[in-house]
Amino acid sequence: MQWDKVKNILIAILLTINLFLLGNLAVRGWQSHRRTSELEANLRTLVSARGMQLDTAFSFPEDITLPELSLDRSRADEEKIAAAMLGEHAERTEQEDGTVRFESDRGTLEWQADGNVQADYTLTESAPTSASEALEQARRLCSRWGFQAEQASWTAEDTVVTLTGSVAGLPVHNRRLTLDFSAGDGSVSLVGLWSFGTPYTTANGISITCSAADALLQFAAESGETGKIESMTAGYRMQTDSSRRIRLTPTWKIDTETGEYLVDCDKKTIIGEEN
Amino acid sequence: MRGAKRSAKNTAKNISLLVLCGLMGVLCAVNWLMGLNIAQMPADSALRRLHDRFVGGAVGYEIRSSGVSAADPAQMALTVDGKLYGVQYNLTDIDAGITATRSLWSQALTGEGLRTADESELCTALRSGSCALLRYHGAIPMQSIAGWLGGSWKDNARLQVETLVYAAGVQRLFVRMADGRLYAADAAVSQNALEEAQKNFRGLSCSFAEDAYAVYPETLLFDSEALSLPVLKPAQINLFAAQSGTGLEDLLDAFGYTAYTDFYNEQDGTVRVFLDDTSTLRLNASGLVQYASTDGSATVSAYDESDITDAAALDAQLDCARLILDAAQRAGDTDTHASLYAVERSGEQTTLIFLQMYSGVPVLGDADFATFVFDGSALRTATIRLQKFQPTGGKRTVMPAKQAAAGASGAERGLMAAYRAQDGQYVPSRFYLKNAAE
Repeated sequence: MQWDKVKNILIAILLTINLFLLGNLAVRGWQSHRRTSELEANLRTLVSARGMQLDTAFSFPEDITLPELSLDRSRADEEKIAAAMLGEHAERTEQEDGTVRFESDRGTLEWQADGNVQADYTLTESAPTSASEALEQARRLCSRWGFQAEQASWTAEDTVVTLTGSVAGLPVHNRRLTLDFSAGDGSVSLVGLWSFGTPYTTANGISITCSAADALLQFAAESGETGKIESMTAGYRMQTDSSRRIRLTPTWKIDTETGEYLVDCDKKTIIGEEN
Repeated sequence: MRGAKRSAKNTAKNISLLVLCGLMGVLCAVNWLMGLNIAQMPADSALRRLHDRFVGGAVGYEIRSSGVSAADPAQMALTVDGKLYGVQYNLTDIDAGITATRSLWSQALTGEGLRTADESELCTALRSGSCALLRYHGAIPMQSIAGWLGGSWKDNARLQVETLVYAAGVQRLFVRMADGRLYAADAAVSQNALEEAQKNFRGLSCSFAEDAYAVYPETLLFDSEALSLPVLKPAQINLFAAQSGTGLEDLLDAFGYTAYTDFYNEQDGTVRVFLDDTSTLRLNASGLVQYASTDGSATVSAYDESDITDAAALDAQLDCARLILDAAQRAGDTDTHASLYAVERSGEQTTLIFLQMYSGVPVLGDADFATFVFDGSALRTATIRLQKFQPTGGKRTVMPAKQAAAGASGAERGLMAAYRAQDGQYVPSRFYLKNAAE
């Protein structure tokens, strides 16, 4: 009988504690939601004061903390792609700045140390005449050459096809390949910025908090744009640093009516207009 | 009947107690997690990885805990198909070379027993078959190089190494000290590791000088070398400008201060002096960083004093200095990076000297770029001379090593390419390095 009472008391205590903890969570959630709503309202006001508007469909992204990542250049992968594209016997020449050029009767391919690639390839099949045909042919060619992308995304405009993909689960805003079939001479040109392998950081590596509000305000203050901001996405920007190492730097991409802009998460500076 | 009813009630209470206890545990964990600042968690924390996977963040990247070297090699070479190929003064190529040959070096640098060797022995070894070479700027402790490349060197740990040569034909590791002395030890590298390195290594055609010139036999002479580098001019640094680099907060943090640490201005505000009870940090807006702490205690400690080996202590001091340099260079938004140049040890005191590099090429100044003095684990003094450079648009071709080797006299047996100040600009040139022992 005594145990029965003790159990009742314990149940009451545990219920009270759980209700308190649940209440605490609910209050935090509500405060966070209220802060986000207030921040969004304030941002809309501040951005409109700078002559810009947030689109009605604009969804305010949450802040995100991302590590700065590095990538190793893979000459082995570059050579594999060259062999698949131009044949095993393509002539290879290397310049002092690390640019490697491959050439054969099928075309040319040039890889630069910073990941920039450009190629001209003579098609063995007829050139596509529509966006859907171009898309289909670009997929086939990239698959044959060995260009693989995590979460690959393809877009086609007339006979120009663009491939983008993510690295470390996030978009790399300036990493893309463009295949242009429009030359009309049975060739395709490939240009873009590409990388291979798994990115890495070090145990003491730096993480950067990407604050959407900071980036948006900086953009509104400095871009000189006056249109609508449609969306913003956190991700990376691929660049080489002064030591010529390839880095993935946390960067916001802001889409407006007129183009895409990149804002560095750390320095909060506008990197450049992409389109 | 009453007994059965009581038993069911008792079971229900027991189940309720268990469920409520479990729920309390979950709610406590969620409350604790919501209060955590994920941004401050290191990238290798399991909690951080879980957060990134389920809440959103970067996933699928590697965390490299070792291999964070404080020094970058200046040159590398490897024999492939009977011909020597090398890379030099380009960190992308050096990084790729290190990746390709890491396994080879980790095996070659796992051993002991370095003994004095003579030059003729090295010349014979260079002709005996496949060779691998790794050359650093300055004098780097053997144990540190071995650690960065995944090996472990048991004795001669305090030797200061400039060049390593592995000769597969005689299975020997030759080590050139900064003062010109030559040592050698038996080293075994598996055929698989050598073949794998040869398969992945890429470089430009070159050869060893051997005994044809008055330079060290292992000096790399590139065929048709045309090392063309941009001429640089110094650019303005303002550490106190709001838009300059990452701002001062990270730099203060690296020295153990906060943004609220007391400071006063000197020289019309171009110098800020931060103070606490035990240390002083003097920052000049133009890039000079000076730190000093008193003997009793320090705001910056490289490691926990208890139970640390000699090798681990040096690694921790190097890591500590490297992180401070990283923060300083980010704060100054400089386009240079630092590479370890020398380690001097006297009793408990260790002095680390760093060289400034622009695109993998050293920039030489009137004084050392950065100097850190540790007394045990405590950082006693640090001096960093931050500089920023801009290409002028002009380029200068550095004298080819073959030509320089032909003009070398016996007292100048080492060669290097570096930037040096000349008429207000920094011009790349070829330099002879005097043999300190002679």
